[in-house]
Amino acid sequence: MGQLTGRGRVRILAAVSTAPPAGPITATGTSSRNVDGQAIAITVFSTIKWWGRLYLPVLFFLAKRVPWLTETLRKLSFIHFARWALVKEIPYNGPPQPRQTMRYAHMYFESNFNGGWEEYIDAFSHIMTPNMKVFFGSSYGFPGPLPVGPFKDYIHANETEASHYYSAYPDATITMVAGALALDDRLAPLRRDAAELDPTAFAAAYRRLLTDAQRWL
Amino acid sequence: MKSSNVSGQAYGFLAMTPIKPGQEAGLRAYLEDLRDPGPSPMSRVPGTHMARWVIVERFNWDPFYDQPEPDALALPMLIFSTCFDGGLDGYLDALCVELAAEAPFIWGRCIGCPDPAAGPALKAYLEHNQIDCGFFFAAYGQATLERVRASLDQRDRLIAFATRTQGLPPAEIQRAFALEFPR
Repeated sequence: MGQLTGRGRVRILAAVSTAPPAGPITATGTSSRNVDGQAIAITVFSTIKWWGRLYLPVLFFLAKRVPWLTETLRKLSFIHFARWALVKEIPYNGPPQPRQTMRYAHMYFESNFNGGWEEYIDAFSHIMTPNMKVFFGSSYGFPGPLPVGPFKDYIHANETEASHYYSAYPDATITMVAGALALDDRLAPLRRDAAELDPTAFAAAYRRLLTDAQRWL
Repeated sequence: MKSSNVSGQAYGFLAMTPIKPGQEAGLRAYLEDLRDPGPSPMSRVPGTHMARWVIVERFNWDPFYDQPEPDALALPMLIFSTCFDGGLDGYLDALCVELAAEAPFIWGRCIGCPDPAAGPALKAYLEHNQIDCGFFFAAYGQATLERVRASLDQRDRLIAFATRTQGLPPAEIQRAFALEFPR
């Protein structure tokens, strides 16, 4: 039984050195009311052309059932939750609310993400160019995702600031959450078996864990 | 449960309620000050990952858009959006209990809200005003809030553990590991 030196020690140090800084808040570029720690809220209404009423439900149906359509969204790795909803009518609650028939349908879009607002829209524009066209193409005034300047102006113009925003884990970025969950899966077997391994076998398993874990820490 | 509101085990709830005439400023001020006394009240509602209240006064219209006419909201609307674990029924039950102190000052300022703004009547009100999602995306929709928090905590502990135990003999690391990360 020797100490964890040599390759094992190097790996431990490497794992620790890749740990993310504990605190820098990356949420920038938006009102403080849209921010809770690392998390940013974006809330956008856009008015839908007549054909969007027919097209968007089909798009939403496909987005839910054909995973590769939203694979890029997942790969972007900075969106915790996002949603799109087609608002065709306002729920009626009796007087004094007037009964209102809306001229147009409206698309509600919200995202809970981390990073900077500018970088978020940049990424949407440059990486998800086709997706943005698909999701916002039926919205009046949508200038297209590129060039990004007019698209940012469009989002700004249609965005509404949150009055209150809450994240249950404000210090965590999506990368940290995804990494922590992956680490949990990876750590579980060693937690289960650690007590039954001899120290040499444990040391080998622990080194492997730390090597694997570097990408998640 | 409508599947369009669900991603994995996560549920995305969205409600739009009309704000009573003359109540918008008071509601906005109340919501904006919610953090002053301490943590967000949403932290008391079990299973809530992320939530927001937003007041929408109007739908944007720009003369340079090719939209023929503006579409006016008759009244400003309060949007409540939340992403949480599990089903809507149990969540709204808990929410209507946990937010009993705040609800009269929030939805109580909206048309049609029951008085008192609490319990099953408030739940029915929120359900009535629900807007179904078209598409709800959750990056880790299979993971509950409890698991997310436990995993983040475990991650931090592993980083600290690796630092603390560097250079120790394997047997000592093993003993410390079993204590730090019991099966």
